[in-house]
Amino acid sequence: MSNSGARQTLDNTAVAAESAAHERTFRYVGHHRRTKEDRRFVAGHGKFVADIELPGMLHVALLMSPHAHATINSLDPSAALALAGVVRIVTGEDIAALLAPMPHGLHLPEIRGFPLALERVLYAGEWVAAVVATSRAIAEDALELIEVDYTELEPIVDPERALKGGPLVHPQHGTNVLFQRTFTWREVDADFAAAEHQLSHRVRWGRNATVPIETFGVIAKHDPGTDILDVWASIQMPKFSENIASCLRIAHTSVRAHYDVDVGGSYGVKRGLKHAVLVGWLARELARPVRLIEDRLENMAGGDAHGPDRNFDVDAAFDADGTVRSLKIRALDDCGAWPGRAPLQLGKPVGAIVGPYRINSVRYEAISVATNKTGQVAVRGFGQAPTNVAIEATMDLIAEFLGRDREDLRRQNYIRAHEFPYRIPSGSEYDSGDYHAVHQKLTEAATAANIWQWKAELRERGLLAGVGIASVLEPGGGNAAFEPLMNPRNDTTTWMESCLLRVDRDGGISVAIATSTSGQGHETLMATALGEELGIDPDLIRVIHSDTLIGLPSNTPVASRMAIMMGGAAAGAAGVLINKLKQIAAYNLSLDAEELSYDRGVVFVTSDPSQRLGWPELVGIAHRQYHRMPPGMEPGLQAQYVYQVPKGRDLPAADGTVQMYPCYAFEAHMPLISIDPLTGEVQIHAYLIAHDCGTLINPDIVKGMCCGGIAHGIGAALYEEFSYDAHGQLLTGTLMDYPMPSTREVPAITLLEHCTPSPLTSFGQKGAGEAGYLGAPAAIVSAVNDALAPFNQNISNLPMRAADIAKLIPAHAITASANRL
Amino acid sequence: MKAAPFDYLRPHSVDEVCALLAQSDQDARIIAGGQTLVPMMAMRILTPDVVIDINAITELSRIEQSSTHLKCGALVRQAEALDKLATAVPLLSAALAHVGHPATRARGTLVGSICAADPSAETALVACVLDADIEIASATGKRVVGAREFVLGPLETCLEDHEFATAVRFPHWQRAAGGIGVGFEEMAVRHGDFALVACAAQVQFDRAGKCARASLGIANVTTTPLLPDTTRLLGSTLTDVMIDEFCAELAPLMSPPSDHVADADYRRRIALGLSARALTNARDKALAQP
Amino acid sequence: MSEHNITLNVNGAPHDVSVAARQTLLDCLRDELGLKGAHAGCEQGVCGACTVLLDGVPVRSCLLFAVMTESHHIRTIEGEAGADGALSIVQDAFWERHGLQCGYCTPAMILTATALLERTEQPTDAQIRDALSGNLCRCTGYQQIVEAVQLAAERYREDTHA
Repeated sequence: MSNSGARQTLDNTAVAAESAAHERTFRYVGHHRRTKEDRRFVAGHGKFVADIELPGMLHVALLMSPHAHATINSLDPSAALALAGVVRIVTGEDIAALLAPMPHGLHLPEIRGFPLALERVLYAGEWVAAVVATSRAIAEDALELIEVDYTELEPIVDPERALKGGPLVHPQHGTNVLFQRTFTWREVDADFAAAEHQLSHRVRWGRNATVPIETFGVIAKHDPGTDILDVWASIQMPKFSENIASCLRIAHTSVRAHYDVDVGGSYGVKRGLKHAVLVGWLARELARPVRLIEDRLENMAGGDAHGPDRNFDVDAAFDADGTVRSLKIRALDDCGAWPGRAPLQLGKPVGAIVGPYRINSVRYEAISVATNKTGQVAVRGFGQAPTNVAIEATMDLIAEFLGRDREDLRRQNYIRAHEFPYRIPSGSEYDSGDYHAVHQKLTEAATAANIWQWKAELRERGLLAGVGIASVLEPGGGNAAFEPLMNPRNDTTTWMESCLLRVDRDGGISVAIATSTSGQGHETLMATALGEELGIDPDLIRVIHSDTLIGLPSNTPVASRMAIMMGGAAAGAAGVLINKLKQIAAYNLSLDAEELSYDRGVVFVTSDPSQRLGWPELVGIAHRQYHRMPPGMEPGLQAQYVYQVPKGRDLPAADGTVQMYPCYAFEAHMPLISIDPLTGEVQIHAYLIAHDCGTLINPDIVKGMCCGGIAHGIGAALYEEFSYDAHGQLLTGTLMDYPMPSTREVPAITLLEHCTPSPLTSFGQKGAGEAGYLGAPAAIVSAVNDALAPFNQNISNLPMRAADIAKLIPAHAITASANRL
Repeated sequence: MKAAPFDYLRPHSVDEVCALLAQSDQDARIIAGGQTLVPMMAMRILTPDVVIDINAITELSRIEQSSTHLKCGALVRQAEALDKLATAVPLLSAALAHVGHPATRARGTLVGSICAADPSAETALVACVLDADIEIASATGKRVVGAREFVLGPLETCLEDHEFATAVRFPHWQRAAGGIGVGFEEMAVRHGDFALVACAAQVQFDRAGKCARASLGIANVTTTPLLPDTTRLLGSTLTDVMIDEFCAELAPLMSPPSDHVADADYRRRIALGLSARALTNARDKALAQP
Repeated sequence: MSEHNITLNVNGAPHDVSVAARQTLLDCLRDELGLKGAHAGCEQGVCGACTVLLDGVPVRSCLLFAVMTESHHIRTIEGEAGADGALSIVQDAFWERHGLQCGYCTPAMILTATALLERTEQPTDAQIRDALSGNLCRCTGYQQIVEAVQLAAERYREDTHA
């Protein structure tokens, strides 16, 4: 952005100071407001990628590997090509030499992946060939006619075995270990030696993902006249267009990804890079628009959208009085055959590795291994949800060991309200919090709901019953730090978001955000934030999504960052605009800008408000009356601001200490469950959550995030898993086999909100995009174990299926009364 | 997931269907509700050459009461049966509440579900427990087969290629003889999913408070519904202890499958307990009848 | 495998289309009639995102071949708003209560809820959850969806008693 007189420069400090100076009574922020987006969706007028029709568009279907590990000896497409309507069939061999390999988050140059398998297939479901035809149905007909000759190889499916050896997924890498590093923060050994007690346990987070109802889809169209490749996709991913361009080996300015496509849910997983590269290549090659909409089979087995698959071994050192001194955590993650960015989700949890507790030291060993399974992708929380299960299960076991109440033990170990900002052993500083106050709200809600009495009544009926507790953090704001942490060659620290604000000749306000949206209500959030800054009704603000050729830098809605980052970007842009308005008014009033104030579109003399210039007049001067503008000032009324994440400036130290995300939301969960002693089936009767994400910009959006996150968490805790057999076959590749919770499995949820503002953000807001999800699995584990407590049994393998739970219920508990339930 | 191409025919009478089945040497499938057939076609597990849509044959929508039977034509929807047959065939109504969801029950049919013969199918289980009859039509005539003979194994019935099932008949238990009660228990991963185990029981008590009739069936612990002999329960008051002992002794008769969701031991264990619950509930309801 | 010329009654108006037998009602609505509100989520009848109303009853349009649906009244989300664009009671309630986020399952949810409220005046929470049990949502956790249906039920009552 160029000069404009006395341009006010805003950096993070200034924004923070501004926010501190803000009145905490907001005009728009925090009030109920219908979201802008909902209007089109309830009318059925969303524009999802599969809704887009382009003349001459061709359709892709994928041939999937039936084997987990095999060489591709030959592939004969001739019968398929003879089918009317089939335009082209491509394999990995056809395209690999023309593409650059897909990027990794780790430094793994010898692992070269392409959209289609090359020479070998590395997992069952991997895409071997792409058929392009005039309709999807014909493309699928053609798939049946392709003949492939494979030689099966022994697959490796056990991550513990992969760690030690076994068949190599990527022989040229020499090992199945993709990453292994131990971080030691502070005096772990001394703390363990000094502690009065220790315990060890294992937690297993089964492979699952947030599986949106809309699969991934992408359409690409090449215009030879402008040499622009237009891409429309159901996307949630940073650097999407950049990565497409580099994989296609074309200039980034030749790719235009459109962010105004409505995305039908993502929660992290819609990265679709191999899909987009494939379709982009085909579109350029065939000179026609090409469309790939995953069907559910392609999605579940071959979309590379599985989530963390992680074994935690935890050792805890604690004293008899309940003080938890130190943790050793070994996290082994099975990221499947193609690493991509997935291993990085071992790194992000470092930023909240001690949860909300005053634990002095931590040793964290993070290991990522490859196996012959579908590739893994970033999932909501980027590894924090599994890590929180490990931490919270540890706290419950410590409480049990000491004979202490689980909530009491937590309260004793919570960081105190007066201790913020609080620096944890791994280097992150928690910005603000009042965990005791939030927990108190939960306690009050539990009392009001008669939770304990209710539990007793369920037991009287012959059921097992349990109350769970989980207190967890949701780091928000994002930060590049996990990248250099896991890959020191990658010295990225920039992690930004932008706001491009335009006031037109009529005084109408429009603002462009440079990223896609998948249900988070960004249009509403941006309009509300900007409306608050400008004092103008958010309903009057038009928000659009840019494309990547015109959009300002963005890191897209990952990492629970958009409320924070759009807030900062809006504050910055509003500040630039307000400053300009003041300069214009000052010039026209022959006064200094310092003597003027701005309020709701009007600039006036602070000491004499009757001297003012109103919005229409200011707009007219800026757009039309250059003779009334300060000399040298740019005409028009527009502002842009690119906001760097607060505290996002430092590379990790040699020992791995680094500031991870800037803001920390907190939530305390309390579910009440019963278990049928015969079948082991869990029913959730009540679900309480007390939540603190600082200032709420839109309460309905935050509530939606919490409740939706809890539903995801229930799925992960009790139902969902991508299960593999010993031959690497995916057993749960349809929505019938991968059971996602319905209205019958998710209970009514009671949400209590608390507000401890962040000192770092424009309104005190923290992130809420991962709310509920980061605590629900831990809370349900806690509840199930509370129900099993009479039998001295403990379960820590997710998902906790009924049959798994039933195994822990001894025969003597299945009395005749169990047959009468 | 698009079905492979097929020819579509929509006859208007039972005879027309039979003629089509007789003359064709192609792989033909009947579609009624389509809730089982179409997903299999979408995944290309089934690729029929011909699909015969019977939805225009209005006579097949009839529900007919006689003094001996309640007959449902091949187009009677699960939703309708759930709604209307709560008094006439209460065990069926109880089972249907566990079958899929309102939208699948709106189209899915009773007969279609029985013909699909999924080992965990609730409708087929109830048909066997109640000794229902299946009416079958073909170009060579009609025949009636008892449900227990109709369902041969997983996804396999006794229907020949040229035959199709036109109705299911549930025989009445004569109410004059005493109170009738039903019990239905099921374990599924989610409500409405395929059952891991399902148990259906119907009992009748005489005026002296003794069990005069008892029928029990368990789905998915054997390849066809397990239908144990209940003779030794008759004449008793069907106490909790008797029920538990009877059910416990069913264990050796079961050979349930094992998979990643649940192993055979678990399925056996819950089958014993759920059948006890089903019998208990049936008993209690029967005794509560005036 | 021939094409079938059929006439579908959609949102009260007849539409002539030519379809292959294997084309589902879902694909026909979307690709032949340009009605994009019904969505594909699984194409095997599990997720419910394809739900339309057939003679007032929710059905999975991915499990119906278009050729089978000629003699029926088909209602899609596009027909719910008034001619002037005014949202139906249920649509507006979903907006007010934010009973959605990404919008993908929303047309199906709204149609299913509408069918419920056309049959049942004062549905309990359990009845609402039961009616919607065949419609999966991954965004909302269902809480605000149930609240939206409750609000719509209230407004239906006000409407009929007004």
